[in-house]
This record gives sequence, C-alpha cells and structure tokens, in this order.
Amino acid sequence: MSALLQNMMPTAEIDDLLAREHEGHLATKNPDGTPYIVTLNYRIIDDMVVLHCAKEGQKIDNIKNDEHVCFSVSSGDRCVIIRGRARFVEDFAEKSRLLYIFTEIFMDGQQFSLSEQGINRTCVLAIDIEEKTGVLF
Amino acid sequence: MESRPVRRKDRVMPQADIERFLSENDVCHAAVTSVDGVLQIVPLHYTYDGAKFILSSQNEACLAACAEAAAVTLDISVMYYVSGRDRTPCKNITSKYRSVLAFGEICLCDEQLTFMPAYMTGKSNIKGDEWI
Repeated sequence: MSALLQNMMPTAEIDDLLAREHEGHLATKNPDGTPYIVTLNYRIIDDMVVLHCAKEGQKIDNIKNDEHVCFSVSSGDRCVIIRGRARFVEDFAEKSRLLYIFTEIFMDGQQFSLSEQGINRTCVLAIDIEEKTGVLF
Repeated sequence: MESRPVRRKDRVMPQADIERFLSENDVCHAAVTSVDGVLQIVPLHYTYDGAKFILSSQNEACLAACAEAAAVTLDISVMYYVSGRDRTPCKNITSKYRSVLAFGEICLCDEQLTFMPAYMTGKSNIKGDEWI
C-alpha cells in the first residue's frame, strides 16, 4: 500500500470536515499556466463548493480563462483537496438563495436581509466537484 | 524583493508587516501545477530567511506534487471574524484576513540535512528532536 493510500481519509470524514470548516484555499491558473491561490470563505451547498467575492480580480480573470480549479480545506492534521470546474452563478434567484444559505451560519438564527444592490454587486462562484481527496498528515 | 500590484491598493501590507507576519507563522498552502497542467494545493510547513522559503512535509504525495512543479505560489493567511451587535452581512459581520502571497520557483533540496538545522531554528512547534 502506498504512503498516499495509507493516509487517505474516509469519505464520511471528508464530508464532515468540509461541512464543519468555513475557510479554504482556491487555486486557479494564470494565463501563462502558473498557479494563483487565495483564501476564501466557503460553504458546501447542494454538493457544490460555493464562494463569494468581488466581481473583479485575478481569480475572476483566471476562471474566465480556465474553469479548472483546485480547492483545499485544512483542519489540524487533515486536508481535503477538491478538483472541479468553477462557474459564475448569474441567475438572481439562485444567487440570492446561495448567499442566504452562505451567510446564515454567521447569523445565529437572527433574521436578516440582503439588498438587491448588494446581491447584484457580489460574485457567486460554484465549483462542481469532480474529485475530492482527504489526506492525513 | 519586488511586490506585485494588487487591486485593493488600500489594503496593501507594508513590507515590514509582511516580514513580521511571515516570521510569526509557519504553515503555508502551496499551489503548484503539474507537468500535465493539473493544479494542486499542498499544505506545508515553512521557514523564511528573507529571500527564500524552505518547505517541508513528511507526506510523500505532497513532495511528489512539488517535485514535478516549477512555478509555485504560496499563500500564508490568517483569517478572523468580526461581528457587531447589528449583524448585517458584509458590514457588521464579516471575515477579515491577513494574507501574504509569494510567487516563485520550487525545487527539491538534495541536501536536506544541510538545511534542517536552519529550518528548525526558532520553530515553536519543535520539541527536542521530534515534530509535534
């Protein structure tokens, strides 16, 4: 058995870690093929990694150029690495739904509202997961 | 060491803060691209001497991913949450983080033992000869 396989996490543990944590690292590819990485809040919603950010920036440009991304979440001696394709959620109703679910974890059950203007100026990214691997270090 | 331009110029960290931030932390996430163009993220311990990062992992898969890469981007980040009484998303409740990105080239060090004493100097997570 290879060292990698010995250190693999069971699927249930992977899903538990992804549900528990809120902070991950998104890697995209620059036009010249070099990697770019940023830290972002995330949530797993409907088996997708959901991210939100400003509508401009290097990661946005990179994803428009190449949708293939890598996303990583670390917790203690465990790390989950996801590969998939990122897409921009453009539909207003879907964006609103995802943003409400995204923010509710921080609200402790309190009611809140997101303005239409706020939703429109926010970029929502969804990563359709193609592969996820959990590794123990 | 030159800095790359960033979109939010109001949030640029002064060079002295960057150096202090890097010395206060010891874990980074390295993004590398394999020879067939597949992106990989690898969490690694690091030490920084002002000019280069020395990276370490006991995980063979991590080292293998780094071994076949050339360009690397390191992300060293600390995230924290801010919340006020009025919990309006993105206003009174938000997450903030400090992050340093380092762009460069990665290579495997053939003389690991030469580097290890320097690597371990000042590491808070080392006790005796053992990693914890």
